[in-house]
Amino acid sequence: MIMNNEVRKPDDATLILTRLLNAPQELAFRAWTSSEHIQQWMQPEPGMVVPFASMDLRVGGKFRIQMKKPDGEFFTAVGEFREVTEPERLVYTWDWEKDGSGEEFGEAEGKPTLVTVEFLKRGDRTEMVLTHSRFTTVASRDSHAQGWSKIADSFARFAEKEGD
Amino acid sequence: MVEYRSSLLDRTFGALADPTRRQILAQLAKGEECVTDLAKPHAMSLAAVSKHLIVLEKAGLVKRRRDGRVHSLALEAKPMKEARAWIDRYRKFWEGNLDQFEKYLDKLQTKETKPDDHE
Repeated sequence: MIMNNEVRKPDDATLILTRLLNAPQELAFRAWTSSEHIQQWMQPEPGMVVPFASMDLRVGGKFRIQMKKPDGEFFTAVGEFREVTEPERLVYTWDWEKDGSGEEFGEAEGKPTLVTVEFLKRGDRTEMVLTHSRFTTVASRDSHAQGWSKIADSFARFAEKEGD
Repeated sequence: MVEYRSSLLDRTFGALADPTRRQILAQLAKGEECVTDLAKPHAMSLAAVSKHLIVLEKAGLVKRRRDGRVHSLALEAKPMKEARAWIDRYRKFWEGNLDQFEKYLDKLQTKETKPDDHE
């Protein structure tokens, strides 16, 4: 059963990923949102580590996740929570720090995107839906998706034809 | 994280945010058209349509060809390819993280269900 009204149609400005997790909803939510857990699992590429993570899990609260490549380069994500509905839904902005190597919040690039994470109860398991969009509000993202879906197919065909 | 940003991409998405401009792109997806023909289906002046065309041009989504006084517009595919590249990079980023997240949840539960299994 679909438990919310999210627009699930992907377009060229929105990435949508779905996973069925072998874990109860509460545990999945806790592991995703607590800094101690994040430091254990967050690894976008092999060899990357998270030397520092902080999560102020409330609407208006900020987070900072510092990721480090084996060659020492830092990738530090920062953002602000827009929605916190434990244990099922999170909406937060996502930006990168320009430098990222500091111990405290540094200057961000100032180009936030929007991440929505949902944990939907499926018996003992949990369906996780991660949406990452170029747009910084759910409303503008969905309005774009609706308009975009009308022309996406013809445009994609054109891009393939012309692109090579 | 420099590879995730692009000012051209910002202009691309800014240009796509308007329904009239999306409609113009849909018209052009069928092939090149002159400005007057492009303006016909829209309930607005030629000048207003021209303004939208300039936004699309600046975003790199369309290119203009001049034949005397007749200006024709055609789609430009590159920005859409860049838009897709943005999605692909974040797909890789999150897929990598989600793989690790799943493994970690498994590990957590093995620990939680076997409290005697101390290392």
